[in-house]
Amino acid sequence: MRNKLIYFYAVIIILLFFCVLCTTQVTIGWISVITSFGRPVKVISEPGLHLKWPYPLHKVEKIDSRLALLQPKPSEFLTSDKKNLILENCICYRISDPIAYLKTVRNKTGLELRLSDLLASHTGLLLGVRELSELINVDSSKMKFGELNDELTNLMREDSKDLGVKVEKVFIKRIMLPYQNLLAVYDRMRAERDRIAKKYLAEGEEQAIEIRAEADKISRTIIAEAEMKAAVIKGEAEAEAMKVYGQAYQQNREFYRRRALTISVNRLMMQPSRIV
Amino acid sequence: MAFESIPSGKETEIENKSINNQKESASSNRYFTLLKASGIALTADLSLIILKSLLACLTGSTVLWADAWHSGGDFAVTFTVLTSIIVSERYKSNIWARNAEGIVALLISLVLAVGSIGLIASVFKNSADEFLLRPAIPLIIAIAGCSVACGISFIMFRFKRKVGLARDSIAFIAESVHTLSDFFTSLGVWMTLILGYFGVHIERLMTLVVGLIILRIGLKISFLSLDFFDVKVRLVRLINRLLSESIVKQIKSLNKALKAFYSRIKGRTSKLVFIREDTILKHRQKIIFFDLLLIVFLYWGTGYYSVLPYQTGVELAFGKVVSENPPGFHYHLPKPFGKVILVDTEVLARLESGYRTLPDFQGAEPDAYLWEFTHNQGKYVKLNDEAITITGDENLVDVNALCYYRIVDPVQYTLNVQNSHEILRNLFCYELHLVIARYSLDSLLTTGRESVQTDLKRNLQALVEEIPLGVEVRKVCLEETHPPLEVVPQYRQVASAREHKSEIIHRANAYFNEQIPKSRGTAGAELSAAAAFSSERISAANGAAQSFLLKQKFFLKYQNVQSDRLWWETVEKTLKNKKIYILPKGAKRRIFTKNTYSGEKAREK
Repeated sequence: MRNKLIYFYAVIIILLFFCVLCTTQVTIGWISVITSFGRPVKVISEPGLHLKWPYPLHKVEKIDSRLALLQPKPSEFLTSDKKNLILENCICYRISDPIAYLKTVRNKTGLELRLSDLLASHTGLLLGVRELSELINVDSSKMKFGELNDELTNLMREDSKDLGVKVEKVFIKRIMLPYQNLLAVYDRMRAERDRIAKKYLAEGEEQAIEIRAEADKISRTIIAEAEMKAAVIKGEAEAEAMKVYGQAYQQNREFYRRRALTISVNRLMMQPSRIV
Repeated sequence: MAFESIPSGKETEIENKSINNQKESASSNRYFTLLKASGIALTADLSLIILKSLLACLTGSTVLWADAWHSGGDFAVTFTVLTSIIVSERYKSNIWARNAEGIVALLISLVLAVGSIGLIASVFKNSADEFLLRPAIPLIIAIAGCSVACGISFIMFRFKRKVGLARDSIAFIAESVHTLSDFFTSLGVWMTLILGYFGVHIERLMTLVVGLIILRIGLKISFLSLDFFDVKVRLVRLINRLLSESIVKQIKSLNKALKAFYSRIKGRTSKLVFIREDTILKHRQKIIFFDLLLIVFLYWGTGYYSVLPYQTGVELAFGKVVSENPPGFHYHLPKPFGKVILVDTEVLARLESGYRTLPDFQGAEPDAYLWEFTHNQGKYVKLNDEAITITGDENLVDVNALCYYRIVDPVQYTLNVQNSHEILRNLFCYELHLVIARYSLDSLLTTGRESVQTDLKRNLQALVEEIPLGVEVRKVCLEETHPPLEVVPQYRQVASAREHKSEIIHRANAYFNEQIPKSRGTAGAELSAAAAFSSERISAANGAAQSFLLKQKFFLKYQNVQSDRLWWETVEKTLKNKKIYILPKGAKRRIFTKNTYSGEKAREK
């Protein structure tokens, strides 16, 4: 009885063991490839529990089939109007055909290398026929950046089919100028701002000069008018005086003459001189 | 009452003395059988040690090392039993031979005790990581090896028990029980390996358990060997020889107390701490069964989990998504068959572009976040690579932007996309640059910000739904947007220039305001002067005319007299204060004037 119990336990444990060895679990988001001594037998992408032969006969390799992100290092390209740009790209891809993937690139590093190379060549190609104004423009109708990205995605999609990879989306994350050009742009921006600043100052000066000139003009006009009026008044006064004198002296000429004579002689003789 | 694993030499001596020479042959027969059995046991133990050490090396697990130690203890015990058998048989008369037994036992027990204490200390000292299995071979082979070890120890248990019962050797029976306990520890280690295969790690606990078991064995053997040596009596005699009466009396009383204490411990512990071997033996079936049941229970219990109020639990069973569970207490299948992914769905996650906020910043912040300091100091770290962007009019701008999003579909977010946060960040940066490339720098800094935010949010949401990413973009904020730091001084200069312009114009106006009134004043002064002059002249003229008229009236009346008077008055006035030269008549007079030289004749008078 005791022996039987022990054997019973042993049998149960061995059965469990074999259950574990003969099944494989496929998680959602992963694809399992079952290989038999290196030869691929089956590709399972539906999640759940699946049967297989135990270890030496069947080997399971699990591959992550979720959307992955690849960010190659930024590289420099030339547009058709000879402008240097540094582009940062992003590739969103998914492994769709694991057997092809395992055959061609074997692992993730290899895949990333291949995709980066493809992307670099395609980007260079597409960018070389476009001008900078198609990528960056205040006028939305002239901007064809979205189309560039779509073309890039399509090209990459075709090329990556051989690798067993489905490229979902490729986009150019960022366009930047090389460092030297950046410095030149900064200089231009500074000069532009200087221009605006100087314009303001010049406008100010212009207005100031006008105002001052106006002020001078008005003041001189006023003074001139006043002078004119004063001269008129003085003239009138002189005329009046002469009239009065004339009227008076006219009445007795003789007296006037004598008086005038005496006054003149007085004046002459007033000076220090010698009378001989 | 407990079976003693080391029989005292005296017992077997008495036994032998009581047996007649008739039984000499039987006893010698027994002796050789036991010897052989011991030899087999020793070989088996040695092989077990080797096997377990090998497994321990290959899996790198501390538990297997502990098990190997335990087998070593078993080997030592067997060895002592062997020596005791040999000694009791061969060197019956030699006291030192008997003492040798006890000495060996004592040494063994010390070694075991020290080893076990080392093991237990390592459990508490080392971190849990050091106990984890790191197999250099597939774990299944290790499990197979361990099963073999279990099998061997079980067989040895049965063998020793049979021999002990057949040859009436208490030592062997005791040893068989010890081997049984070895079997149990091997079973425990086997369980650890199996659970380790499935990802449930109890290595640390098991190391502790095995260490305690070894400690127990070591202590037991040491106590028994001390008992064998009658240590207490010898110690007492030694002390009596060395010390004086009173001190001896005190020590004797102390000894009594110790003795009582010791017997109490012995009595108690043999029931509690040193679990009695005969009970183990009696209930071994049940013990095995309940142990296994307990382990299965614990394993099943690892499936319980709780979902916090801001989370959703995505439950997987055999790889398929079973349900998305709201906050609460739930169950999932234990580790290899099912799991749960806890996703923070109610949290408003935050994505930064152009800078990063340091979460645990403790230092000083600047007084105000000016353009030089924005997202550059204090609790922010600036990333110029993300921030500097080209605008639509080929200028550069420094943009710091923020996106708040919420996970709406946890399955998509975790199981359809790797690293969703980074993908979202890249999409965000892409859209940001794309939108900014349509605006000019000036509108970005001022009027265009509202529409940039709206455009960005709309486009980003569309992109995110296209993939799909399983998130919802709640809000997009443009934080500080300013020209690059290199050109900021010039920007500030423009503002200053406008101020200067106003200043210049104001000054000119001041001049204007000053000049006109002044000139009006001058003009007024002129006019007044002219008026004054005119009134002066007219008044003077009037006065002169009046006086003339008055004078001339009387002139006609007194004409002659007046004319003479007038003449003499004039002469008087003129000759006053003048030098008068009176010359006689007839003198020649010459007046030299300035014109003499020019040849004019001097006037003669």
